[in-house]
Amino acid sequence: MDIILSNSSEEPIYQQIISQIKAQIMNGTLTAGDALPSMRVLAAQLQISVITTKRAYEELERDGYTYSVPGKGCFVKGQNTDFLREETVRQTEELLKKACEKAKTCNLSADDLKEIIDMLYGGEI
Amino acid sequence: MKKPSFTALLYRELLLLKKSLLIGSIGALIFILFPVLILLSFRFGNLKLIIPEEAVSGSMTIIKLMPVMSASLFAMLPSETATNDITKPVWDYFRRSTQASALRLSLAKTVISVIGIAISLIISIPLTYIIAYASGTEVTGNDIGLSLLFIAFMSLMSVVFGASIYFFKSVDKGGLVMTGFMFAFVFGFMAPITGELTKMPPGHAMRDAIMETHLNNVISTLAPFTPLMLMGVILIQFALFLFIFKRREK
Amino acid sequence: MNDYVNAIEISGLTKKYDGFTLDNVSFNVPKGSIMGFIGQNGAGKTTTIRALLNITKCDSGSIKMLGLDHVQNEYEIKEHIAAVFDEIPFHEGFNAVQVGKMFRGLYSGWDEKKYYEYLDRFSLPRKKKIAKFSKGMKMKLQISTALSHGARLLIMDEATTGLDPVVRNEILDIFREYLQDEENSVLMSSHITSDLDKIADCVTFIDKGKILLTGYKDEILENHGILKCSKEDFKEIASEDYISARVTDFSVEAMVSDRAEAKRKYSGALIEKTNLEDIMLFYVNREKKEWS
Repeated sequence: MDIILSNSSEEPIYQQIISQIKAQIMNGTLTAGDALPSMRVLAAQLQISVITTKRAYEELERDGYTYSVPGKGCFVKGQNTDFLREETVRQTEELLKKACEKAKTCNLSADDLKEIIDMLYGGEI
Repeated sequence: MKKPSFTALLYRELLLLKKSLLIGSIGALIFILFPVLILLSFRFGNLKLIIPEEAVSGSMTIIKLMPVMSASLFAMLPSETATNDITKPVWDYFRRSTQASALRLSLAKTVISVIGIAISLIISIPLTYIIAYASGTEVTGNDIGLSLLFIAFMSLMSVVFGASIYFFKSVDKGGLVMTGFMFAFVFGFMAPITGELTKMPPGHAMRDAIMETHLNNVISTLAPFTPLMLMGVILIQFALFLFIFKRREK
Repeated sequence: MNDYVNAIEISGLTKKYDGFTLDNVSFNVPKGSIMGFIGQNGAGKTTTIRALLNITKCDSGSIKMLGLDHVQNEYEIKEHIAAVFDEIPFHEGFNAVQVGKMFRGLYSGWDEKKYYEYLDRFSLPRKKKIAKFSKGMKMKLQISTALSHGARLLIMDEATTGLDPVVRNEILDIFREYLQDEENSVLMSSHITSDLDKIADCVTFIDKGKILLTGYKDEILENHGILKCSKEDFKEIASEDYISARVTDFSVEAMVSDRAEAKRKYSGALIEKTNLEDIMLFYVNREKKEWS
């Protein structure tokens, strides 16, 4: 499992961990039944607080990506990846809806918005 | 009371004593060799030719004192390590984070003190004989008495030293107080005979005689009390340690 | 050993000295975590730790360690804690082997094998006198002893001060290892906030004898931020919305304690992440309000 954290990102660390693990589950790097490293080991390796990893793991479990077996650890839940993807697409649509509403209030056109999206994908913002 | 932490504390004190023993032994050796060589030179060697008899007998007392002084060194060594613990409190802070109580620490230090005094007493005997042999005199009861008294006195001084360092928070002031005490004792010792001494001109043989008689008087009166004195010193030292290490900073 | 939630519970600790008062100090160190205790020199960190270890008596307040009262159960507690100081308490004429022998008699849980393993791991010579050790080696020796008797609580008083970054990192790694066991906890006082940025789970900030902040480090860092703006714009910022502000000729930097609220209220302003050092700087100046 690869986790690469960025200190300069505005995204909180626990959020970065969650996103990266979710992504790996969705693209198949992590499959059902795979064991995640223990919270403490992960914290020690990444040199962050165990409270952070605990928070990330708790949210992953709450969102249905993992499950924990007391005494054994955290494991990847068998996913219906299509369903998950659909769920994430839906969430993205919600966010875009909000972005469109905001854009309208300052008179940004749909094309302007598309330009911004291109730049974001290209990593320029 | 003989729980593990006591032996650990004792072990530490013994190690510290061992380290100072080495230095003490070397010092003692010098304190012995020097007078012995001088005495032998008085009797058989070159000094005999240079120095007149009368001067020799006068300085005899001082020379006789030298083995006693070196022996009593060993009684003072434990207090040297104790003062270290008093001036640098880190060890005590650490000790307080463990189960080792102030009582056990005081006990361990007192045991070491007793060992130091015992070493002094034991060593003083052969040393007295060596000096006596070198000076061609007999070992008298007074010589032994002198050793005992001197050792008891020096032990008391080291306790005074330690206490002063603690209460005045400085080694220099402690030294001053101890010196003050010593002067007071010498003064008390000399007081009864100052009257007679002033009547005599300096260098007169009678002076030495007066001194010697006075010294012998003092020794014979006080010597029997030495065991009591030593016990008293040990008790005071124990109480002092207990007070210092138990007392939590205000 | 009973079950407990907090390795250390301090409540209402007060102690008056001439010219300095520990004022109603309260905070908890959750079991299994490492608490960074930060503050300036003289802020009260060492005084608090001395009260913990019962080196000084407190005027009022209660302290619990490992679930037990620190005065009534002092004896039991001390078998299971280890204190590390900035100065090595063992006599400089001793060597590591002798120190080990002494510890054998001090703790019933002393593990000699583990001690020697640590010595080897730190490359500490066994027979060399402590006087010949470097500062880093002396600290590593102390830590070796602290971790070799099964202590459940490690209390470090400015133990990384004066050490070079490489050694400090080694020591932080050792702590991470120590915390792999959830039953272990660490209280670490330091003014080297960068170390605590890295390793602390919780942070308590003390200034002039008062606790200003205590809580999870992540939360504290997330909630605080530095608002940067021009001197003109700064005039629009309400005084109660920031802790203190650093005013330069070209801009103003203000520390806010509720980043989300500040973003909402002063949308458009640049609000950046912060670290413990900045938090300390800005809070220490909280009474001045504006400083440069």
